[in-house]
Amino acid sequence: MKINKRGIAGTLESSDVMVVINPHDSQEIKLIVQSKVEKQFGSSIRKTVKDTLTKCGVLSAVVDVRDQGALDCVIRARVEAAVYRASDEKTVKFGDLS
Amino acid sequence: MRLRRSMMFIPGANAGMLSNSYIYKPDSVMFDLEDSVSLTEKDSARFLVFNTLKENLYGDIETVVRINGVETPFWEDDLDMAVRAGVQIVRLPKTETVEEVKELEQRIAKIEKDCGRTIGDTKIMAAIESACGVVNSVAIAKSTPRMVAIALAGFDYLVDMQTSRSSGSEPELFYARAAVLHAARAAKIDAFDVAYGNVNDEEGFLREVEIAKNLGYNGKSLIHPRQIELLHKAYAPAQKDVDHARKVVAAAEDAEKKGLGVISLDGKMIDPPVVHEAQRVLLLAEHS
Amino acid sequence: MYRNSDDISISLLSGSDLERKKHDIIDFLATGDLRIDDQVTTFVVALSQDNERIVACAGLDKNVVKCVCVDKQLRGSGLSVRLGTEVIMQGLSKGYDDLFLFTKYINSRIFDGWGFKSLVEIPNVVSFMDYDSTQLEYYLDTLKSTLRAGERIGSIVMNANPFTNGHRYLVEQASKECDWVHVFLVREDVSFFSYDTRLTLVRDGVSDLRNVVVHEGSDYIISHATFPQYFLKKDEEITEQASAIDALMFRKYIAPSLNINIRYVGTEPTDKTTAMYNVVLKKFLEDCSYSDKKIELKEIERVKFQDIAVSASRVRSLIQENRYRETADLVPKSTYLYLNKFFVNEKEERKSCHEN
Repeated sequence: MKINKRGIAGTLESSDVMVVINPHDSQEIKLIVQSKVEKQFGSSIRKTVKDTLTKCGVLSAVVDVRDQGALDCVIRARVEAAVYRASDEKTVKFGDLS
Repeated sequence: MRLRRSMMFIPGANAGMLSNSYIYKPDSVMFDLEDSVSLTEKDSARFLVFNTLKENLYGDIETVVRINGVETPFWEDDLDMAVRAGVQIVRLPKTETVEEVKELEQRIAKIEKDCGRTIGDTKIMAAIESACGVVNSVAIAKSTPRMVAIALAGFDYLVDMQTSRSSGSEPELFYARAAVLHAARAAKIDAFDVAYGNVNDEEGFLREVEIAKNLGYNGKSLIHPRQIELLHKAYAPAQKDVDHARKVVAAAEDAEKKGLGVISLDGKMIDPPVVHEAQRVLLLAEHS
Repeated sequence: MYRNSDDISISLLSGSDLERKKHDIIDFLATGDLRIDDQVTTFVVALSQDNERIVACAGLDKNVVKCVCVDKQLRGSGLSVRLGTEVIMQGLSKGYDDLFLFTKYINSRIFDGWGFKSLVEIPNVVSFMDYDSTQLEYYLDTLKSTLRAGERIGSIVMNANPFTNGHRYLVEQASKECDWVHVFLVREDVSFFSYDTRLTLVRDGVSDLRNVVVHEGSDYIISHATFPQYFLKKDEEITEQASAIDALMFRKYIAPSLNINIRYVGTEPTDKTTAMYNVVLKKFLEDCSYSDKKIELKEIERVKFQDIAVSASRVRSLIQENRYRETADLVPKSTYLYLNKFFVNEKEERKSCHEN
């Protein structure tokens, strides 16, 4: 999926994560993660975000992730929502996200 | 047999509650995409509920998704998400006619086929929220084998009836409670009583629970986790009922072992519905 | 059905909705010892659902968060982060890359919870915070690409509304004394002349000076005009804190990126506020208690015409009084040509209107 504009999803609340996706001028994912559980889970959060982006077919984007101790499933959900909001895709293909 | 005492509402857009609510161990959990989700978060709530269901966080707790009504532009996307995520029950709000249920059923079947779920696997729960819905509740309850429960929802119903919630004996809900429960029993499905809005009023809540329980409701829709334990306690059977139920079930098992067609206890014959009720009492006792 | 933070709903107010609620907001802010800021165009307001009472609010003036207040009894209830989420969503959705706020030092902890980080602070007084610090890094990287080698690297921060002989004189002096001079144009829209016009006039006005580099301003170059006033009572406090934040931001981030070691300002003989601004600027550029490298502040005597200091405000009042020809003595040729063109065009337009 192509990132055409800014997409934001999530909140600052506990157990949630705020994801902001912006278009990027080069063909890569630039990922910035801040988490209150950075030390223990930083790399796992990064992997979850990257895997989700790959599944959504996002190849180029700047992604800002502010984590408040979200479960993996919440991180996936927020990244997916931000990606869809940043793309021009109108209908979500949940089948592809399985 | 499955207990459906507590059906706890969880706003579909609230990541924290979706992540944590299984710890309260309700019998069923209802992820809401409708009233608790603002128009701007309808999309993100779907992603949250989808991934929560996929993660199987809720284990043995029955999962329900309340989709938006069939008159909205959201329900088809809601349904697509819920069925593909493997939800056990789809709750249709503001159900008024059999046609709506049929439309929902066809759409579910199509998605099931598309994603490889067994046709018929996804169950339906109809929420009755209007005079029209109450009047049609028998037909709605019997409309499809997918229908496993109906739920009375008080707020919109009372608006429709041009009245509001009173305290005490609640005459405003007499007819609807009785009618919806009869529809459920006639169709041999479960029934949920209305939610109680004031989470700080324990006394009022328990008074309502007594009414619902004595009428014969399986349980109640709940809007706060602290209501779960109160409800489960209120539904706990008395020890003498448990003792009696044990004897009934033992007699039934004994009869089956001996290959007898007739079950008897203390010289009296016992009908299958009584055995069924005894099994329910034991289940309640086990989960109280 | 399930309500968060005990029956509190959050809504956005702008335009006529905001006007209608303004009195309630003013009253609520007063409970937190704050005033309303008239630049705020959007308020995020939390209302208790039972009686429609305001229990929290936060305002947005472009990309600056202002007037944040949470009911004392609800602090720590999770309401603050709900408010913050909505503010950040709003700000970022409007297209701003970074969001800012100025706060009393003691309140800065609330904003840690919003993901804001302190850029600079005067301990126990004031903090200047932003949401996405990577944006500052991008800006500094852009600046670094214009890094020039030299012993004496000067700098001037100006509004140039419009560029006058006074600005020109200041740049000239710096140009003579330094190996290189970096000129920063404050980016703000409240000015009489548009930002693009001001930038063009500065560039044209210094184009003959070989060792001068003109930079577009950014949100990270603070000026008195961009500093909010809602949380301070006295004018002197406002000036002092605005000036201090300006100095500390410059000293900590901007100057090191370009090896700047001198900042130039014009002396201020008449206006008390500006005079004080310079005093505070000097203090915080040179104060030893901050670890960042000191910057020397150099005041240059203002250039005068007919015994009155040349200033942009004087030029603006001449224009407003339709005496634009008299500006010829106060501004460089490039600025005068622009003014001339601007007014001649306007006259012609008027003429053609009459013809129709």
